[in-house]
Amino acid sequence: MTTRASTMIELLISVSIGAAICVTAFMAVRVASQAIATGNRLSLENQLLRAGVAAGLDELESWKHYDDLAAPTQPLRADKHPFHELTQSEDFNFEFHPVRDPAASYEEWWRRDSRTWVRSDPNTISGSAGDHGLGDYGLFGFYGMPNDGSVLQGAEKRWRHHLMHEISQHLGYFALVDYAPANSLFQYYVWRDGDYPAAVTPWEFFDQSLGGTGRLYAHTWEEAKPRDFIALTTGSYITVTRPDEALAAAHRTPEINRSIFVSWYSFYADLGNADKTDDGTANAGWSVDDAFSSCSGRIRPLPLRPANWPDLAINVRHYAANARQFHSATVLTKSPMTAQIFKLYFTYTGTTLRGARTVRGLDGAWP
Amino acid sequence: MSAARTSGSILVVVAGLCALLSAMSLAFVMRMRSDAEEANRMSQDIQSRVMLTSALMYVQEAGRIGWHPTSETFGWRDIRDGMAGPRVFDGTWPPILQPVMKDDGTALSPSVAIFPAIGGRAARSPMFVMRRPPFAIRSTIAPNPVPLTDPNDDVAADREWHELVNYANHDPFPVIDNAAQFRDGDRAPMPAAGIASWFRVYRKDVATFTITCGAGATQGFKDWQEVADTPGAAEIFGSREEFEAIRTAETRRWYEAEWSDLVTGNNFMHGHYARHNTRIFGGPTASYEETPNMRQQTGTFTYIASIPEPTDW
Repeated sequence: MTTRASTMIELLISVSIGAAICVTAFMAVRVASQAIATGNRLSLENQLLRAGVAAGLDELESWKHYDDLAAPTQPLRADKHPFHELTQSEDFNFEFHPVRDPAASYEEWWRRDSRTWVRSDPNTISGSAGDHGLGDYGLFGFYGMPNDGSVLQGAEKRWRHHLMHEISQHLGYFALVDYAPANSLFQYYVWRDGDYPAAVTPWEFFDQSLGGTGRLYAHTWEEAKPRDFIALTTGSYITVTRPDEALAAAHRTPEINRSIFVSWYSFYADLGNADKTDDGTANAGWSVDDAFSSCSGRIRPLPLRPANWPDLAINVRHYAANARQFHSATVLTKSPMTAQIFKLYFTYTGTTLRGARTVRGLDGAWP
Repeated sequence: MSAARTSGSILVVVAGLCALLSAMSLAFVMRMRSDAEEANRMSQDIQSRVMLTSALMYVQEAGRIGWHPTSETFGWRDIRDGMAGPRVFDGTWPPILQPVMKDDGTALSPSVAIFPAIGGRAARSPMFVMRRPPFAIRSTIAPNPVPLTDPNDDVAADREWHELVNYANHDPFPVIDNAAQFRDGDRAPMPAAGIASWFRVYRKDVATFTITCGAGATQGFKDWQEVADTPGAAEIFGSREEFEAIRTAETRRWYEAEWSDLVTGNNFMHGHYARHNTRIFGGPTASYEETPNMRQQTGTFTYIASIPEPTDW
């Protein structure tokens, strides 16, 4: 019996074909493996984006980045910040639309409702704090007005002056526009002694400069006058900020929540026209653009992530501008492998500042 | 090596490779499916959140319209005298609510304790896309456009006035000509119109509402008891077990919101008008920033708060 051997050519061809099959199979496995790895990475990045959106939505409803009950401290509960605890009183409360007791008469009810009525000179601040262009409206009420002997001892005359004063002084401007009745004109009177004692408008309520702290009426395009919410926020930006995380040094002041930002860009400073401003330096650093970039709430869910993991960042903002309240989140993911960035911005209707304070019980009890 | 053994080896190698590729493909498909399910859950969550906006709009509108065929009502807390609303012009309850409401806004009896009575059963609003909503109008911006035919409007300038300005078509333009069908709409749901969602509004106090937002197929029924108490509802879900399964799979969120009758103008720079000149409210000749007027007819919210599941909703 003879055994038929392969020729060298047959052997070479067989080895070549075998090698080609092996290489092809290896390539197929490798490509499939890469495809799966890419799919997993994309899936991971998508999961991260979804987690970021969920975290942003959760924050916009809970406000816990600004007031976290589980944190060791709550810095925004300090005075001049929006989570400061308040005590209500006859002169200062949020009962500006009381429901009438069906058993009570109309006359017993109307006086409380009238607390929201503005009683101020529309021209009172045309020149200086004591000007009264159209009469002395301070006779109708001012902050700290003494008992006038009426049924409510004048509380209804002091009410709106106290509301403006207490909230602007102790919770800040965003809280003021959130809490004040929707029909408010933002102005009030305080008593000033001196050669010409009178009820006058506090300086911060008509300081017509270009943004900064303690300047609620700062504005760029109209003279200082009492304004409603829409006129006040036209071209202006009022926000809630944690001073410790503001990017600009000027915004890390304890007064940051009593600040207003005006104009969409620092036009006086940019154009070299600083001499046209009230004090030559105003508005530099206090434009809407400055606030938007500097004063967001910065959430970093993965602070200890390895460098090869995708990154996730969420910036939340609560602000009033252009006649609206905005509650927004910007979600960013960045891939370390490709440097690809996904950015998703959305605004949301959810918990307002007063809602967040209400669930925390920060407004005291009234009546 | 024999040919048979060689063939067997190749078969083993090829089969192994195929098994490997299949396993990887299966893992990939399972991963994609898992992603799709997570994305669906997220869509469901967002859909339930979107319902808050619808519910708030419902609260705003329902304080002012919808209770009387011809008369508006004056808010949840009547803007004129502070009484619980919604009441019509003469301060009484609309006829549809007279068998339901006491003067303080609560229900006359437990048997008629339904929305809008304070503490009454919540208004339940399953939200689906109708084939044609009642009073649907076309999204035509200009039903009666000026007939411009050339870039410089030269030809139009020579036309007769009645040709340039006319109202040959209704403005706004109804989707359907038949008046009864226009009024009634076609309320049948559109198929495949996205994730089913709903909201409920419970009147907690005169102007305070508990809002429940959901995404899922329960149509906003709170529990099986409510299904059983609603004529015809049990047939929708078949059995208690099926309803519970549907309820478990859906997303629910709770909010509290307080309505206010106070609104602001479109723009009011107090004093600008008084010192310089008189501005007519809504004056068409003044620019927008100098024309104070009121376009907000439905009130505002003093606060909106996300809350845990309350006892009553």
